[in-house]
Amino acid sequence: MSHPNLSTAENSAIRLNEITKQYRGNTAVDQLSLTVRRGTTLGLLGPNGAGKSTTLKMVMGMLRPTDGDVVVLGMDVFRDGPQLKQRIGYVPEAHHIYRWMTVAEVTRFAEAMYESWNDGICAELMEMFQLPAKRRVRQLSRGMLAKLSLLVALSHEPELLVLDEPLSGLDPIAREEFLDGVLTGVCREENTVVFSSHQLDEVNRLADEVAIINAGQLLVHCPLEDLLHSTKRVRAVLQEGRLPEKIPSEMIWNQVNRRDWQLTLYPFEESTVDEIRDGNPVAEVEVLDLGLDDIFKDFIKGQSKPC
Amino acid sequence: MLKALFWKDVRMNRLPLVAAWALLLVPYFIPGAMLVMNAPIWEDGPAESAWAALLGTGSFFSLMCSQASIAMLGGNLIAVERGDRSAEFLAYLPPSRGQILLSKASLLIGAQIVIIGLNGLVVMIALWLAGNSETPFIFTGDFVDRSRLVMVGVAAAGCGWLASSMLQSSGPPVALAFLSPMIIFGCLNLVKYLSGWPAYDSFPDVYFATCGMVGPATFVAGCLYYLRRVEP
Repeated sequence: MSHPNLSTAENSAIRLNEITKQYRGNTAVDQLSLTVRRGTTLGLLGPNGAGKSTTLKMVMGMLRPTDGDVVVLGMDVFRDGPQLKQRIGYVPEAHHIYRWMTVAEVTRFAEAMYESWNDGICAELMEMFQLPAKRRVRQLSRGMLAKLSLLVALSHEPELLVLDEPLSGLDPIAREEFLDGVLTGVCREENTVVFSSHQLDEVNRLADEVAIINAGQLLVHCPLEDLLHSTKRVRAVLQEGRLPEKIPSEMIWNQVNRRDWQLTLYPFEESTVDEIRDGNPVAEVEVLDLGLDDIFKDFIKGQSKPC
Repeated sequence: MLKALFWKDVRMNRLPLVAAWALLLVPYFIPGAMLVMNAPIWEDGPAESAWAALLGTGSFFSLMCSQASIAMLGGNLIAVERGDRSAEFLAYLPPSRGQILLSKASLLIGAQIVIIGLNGLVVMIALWLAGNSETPFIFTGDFVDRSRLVMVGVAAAGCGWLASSMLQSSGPPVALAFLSPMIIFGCLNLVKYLSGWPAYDSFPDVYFATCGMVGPATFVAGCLYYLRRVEP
């Protein structure tokens, strides 16, 4: 389910065209198509094992899809990998920076890899993150490693920043520091940022657009505001001894508990409430707003337990 | 970029490189010295001849031991980065597969060139000291045997390199590198058993020639596999 305004390939930073990734018969990503426009911040949401990291690794050219095409910044990610990586910053979920290097050696090594490297940004981030230049990577905490990884990803001023669960494993203080101090700033600039997460508060704070994936399939991709405004919970009270008869096509999840019938609709339209009233034995109908948390859960539950 | 990659590879392969230096130098002090010290040449002939014999003997054992370190290096170079998963870090940085491979191959080939070069230099010094007599080689044979040693080292390093390009940790490739001369020997014996070729007299020549071919072939195969592979 992709928002009509987001489906255009023009001016896209990332274009995934029906990509599938299978590992020995298991499908991690299943015919996923997604277009991310330049300058947007996309939050890629999904439960554990949904295929977020696999998708981002394919965007980075670190995994070849079993089927489908990946085009990033107008270039083929596999054919033009080295040129493309000059323009992308990536922060993985697990940091595997050379453990024997010191922080200063890591920055020098990374600097040698990129054609352009902004010493000013690097120094500024070193200071902001309070990274000890002489300390070895193996002596850094998880939070420090994440900061070093972000420093490497940002110092060459990438056009596209790909963050794979950037805050996972960080304590609440480090998370706040990261969100307020760095990511909020990065996401406000002209950069395109794609980050995966299952932390909904992060997505709420940073993202312009949201894509929810589950079991390797894209369930929805649209601007965050649209998703919040166009997804509603309808709560209906059924007549005694009756069951729903006509379920609207916009339904993404529903549950019947005695006379209480709850259903989540996307995209929601007022006329759908009339359809529910007219087509079902309901006594009362109430429309409720939902937070991103509930919307996410309903999309996931709706896919895993078809009604 | 290549300089930084090369420095990183040197640092990541510090253990095989330290072993290479040790195996390059220690044989001059232990087996070479012991052999020469116990030989009558040390007492009977001029000091130059004795030194020539020591250097000649030491360099032979040095070259032999160094081939073990080359095998270890060949098996270690690519897989060591997969073993600690730092290959994933390198995979999202801009260097191309070709540049990464060039750095690693330079280290392997460079180390072999240094070993052969130093060995050749020592042999030349030994020959100069001995006045072109056979003295430097009285314990070890002439220089042709050394090229055969190098063939074995090349085969071991090539097989290790191929395994290293495919596997996730450096242990099995290093083990395969050490075993490969014996595997080639076994395979050649099997061919001899089945077909009668090569004849007993030519078996050593065929064996070393096979090693000389297997080494570059497996090295090229390892390069191609690594270049075609997408995953770190």
